[in-house]
Amino acid sequence: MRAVRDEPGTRSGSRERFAAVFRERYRELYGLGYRLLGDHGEAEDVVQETFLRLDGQPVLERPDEEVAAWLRRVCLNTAYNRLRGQRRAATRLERAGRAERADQEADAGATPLLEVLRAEQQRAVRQALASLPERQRACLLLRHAGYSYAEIAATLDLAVGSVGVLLARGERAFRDAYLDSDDPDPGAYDALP
Amino acid sequence: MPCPDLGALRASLDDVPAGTTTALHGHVHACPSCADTLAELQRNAELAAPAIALTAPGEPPSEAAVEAALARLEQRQARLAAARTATATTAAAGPAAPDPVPAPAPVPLARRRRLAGLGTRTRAAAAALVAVLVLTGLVATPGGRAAAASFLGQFRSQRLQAVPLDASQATQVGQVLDGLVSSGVFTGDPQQVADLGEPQAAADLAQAGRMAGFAVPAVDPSVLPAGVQHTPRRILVSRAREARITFDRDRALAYLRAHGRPGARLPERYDGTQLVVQVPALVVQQFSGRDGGPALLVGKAGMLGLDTEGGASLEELREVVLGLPGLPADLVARLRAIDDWRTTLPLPVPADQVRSRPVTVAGAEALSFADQSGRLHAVIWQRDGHVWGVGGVVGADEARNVADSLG
Repeated sequence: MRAVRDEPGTRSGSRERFAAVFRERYRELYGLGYRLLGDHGEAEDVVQETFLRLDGQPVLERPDEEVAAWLRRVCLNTAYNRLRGQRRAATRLERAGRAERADQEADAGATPLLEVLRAEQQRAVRQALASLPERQRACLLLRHAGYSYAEIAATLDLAVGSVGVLLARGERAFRDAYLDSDDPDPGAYDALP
Repeated sequence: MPCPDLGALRASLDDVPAGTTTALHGHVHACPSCADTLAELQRNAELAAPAIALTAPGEPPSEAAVEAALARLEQRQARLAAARTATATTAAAGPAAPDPVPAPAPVPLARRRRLAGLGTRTRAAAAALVAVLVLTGLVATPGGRAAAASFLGQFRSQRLQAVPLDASQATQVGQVLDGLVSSGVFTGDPQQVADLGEPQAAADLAQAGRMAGFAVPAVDPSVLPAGVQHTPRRILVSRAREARITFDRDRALAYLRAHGRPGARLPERYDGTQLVVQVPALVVQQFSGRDGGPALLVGKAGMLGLDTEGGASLEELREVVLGLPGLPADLVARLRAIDDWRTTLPLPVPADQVRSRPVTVAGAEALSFADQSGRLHAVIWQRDGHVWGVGGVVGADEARNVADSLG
């Protein structure tokens, strides 16, 4: 991991540190936000809110890995808050699915079948993910976005040894929800060993 | 070694934690129960990985986009700081002093460059979107909807033509649409537009045919690619519909004058002209692959129809739209170059993401598409008054085989 820290304790050093962290982490946080929300504008909003909260936080002076985990945690929580807000998550996801379809139809109308297929798959995946408990969902997204067990543990505030079981349960629940998209059974695997 | 817990078994698939996997594999080798669990965990992980990969954004933000986001954030921070200072100043001046600084305005977040943002923000926006897309020819027979109807209007899609469009051109078009939406040049019945193309499930092909108004053939299982299940998992039908979008001449003039065309003129008779869009019925058969996820789509639709009612002809409205300031010049030129525009449906192709080439399907002109990843292929053609399409996570030849079998 690239060190992006600057001289701590000075105002300009702190600004530079902040900007460096932003440049270093923007893409991955944007990716996380998009994976959850399925909307480019909302993903950007979530990352902006995340960094607004980072401003002035003591964690900014901590090692890069800690800052990164803090940012991922806040980003996921901010995105979940959005999903919970106003509408039920399912309604919103359905809307995101439609937006995505419309998006691709308008933007890439040339390939309606390809795009419809892709949009339909994305919709089914997001719908299946939405039926999972939040920690399982976060664990799956993080793992399948390429984060290590240690990074996932730091983000979700878990022991590294607990990541595997969360992932195993999440993947089982995801399989069942995804293969049975028409009749999702939220949280069915919470009771698993 | 006692049976490892679920988490340790799952972690062993990722070689985590290092050093313990050898003993664990030794145990699993000798313990049928753990071997079963591990095999199931592996299947689950192999199902989840490619599925969840689909939720990633198409491409990561560019360096310029990151810098622009940082600039927006810094601007927002500055406003917040200014607001805090102002609040402190006001408080110090006493409670009777009026607030000299207005509440910080929300910083405009990233403009949703992509066209669909319009549809999600306001339904009226969607109406204008449809109008403009249709008029400029930027209407695909969107795979999820479009085409049937025994409509005979001024426009009737009979041919398909690919019109390559790069990302910046798509952005330019989006900006023009944004302007038309916010200025109310085109308005539509929100419900009509919102209702467009929400698909319904059909129990079987016969029912789908009744809903769509045309017969829907079954796909011969012998032409399906290996691994694709033989009966469709779902049959979705989007019924034929009509949408009407109204053109406001005065607002159009105001828009043109505000965008560098001070001398713009439009005949009064144009005002209130309705664009009538006949969105045809569409039937999509969705076939699953081995993992149960969608693998192949086979679609059949009617024809898209367009006409106007009121003082302006379709050709005149088309001219107004093609002449709008801000549209990419070469896109407009390509659209104008389509001689038989009343019968040719231009399909915008995002040139940086999708390749297209002309092919034939059972003797008919067709367009074949491949996405950047090379994993998705599709073919679209027209025959006997219908638009057909086959596409999915299949090879180009596999898609063509299915297409040929449908004729």
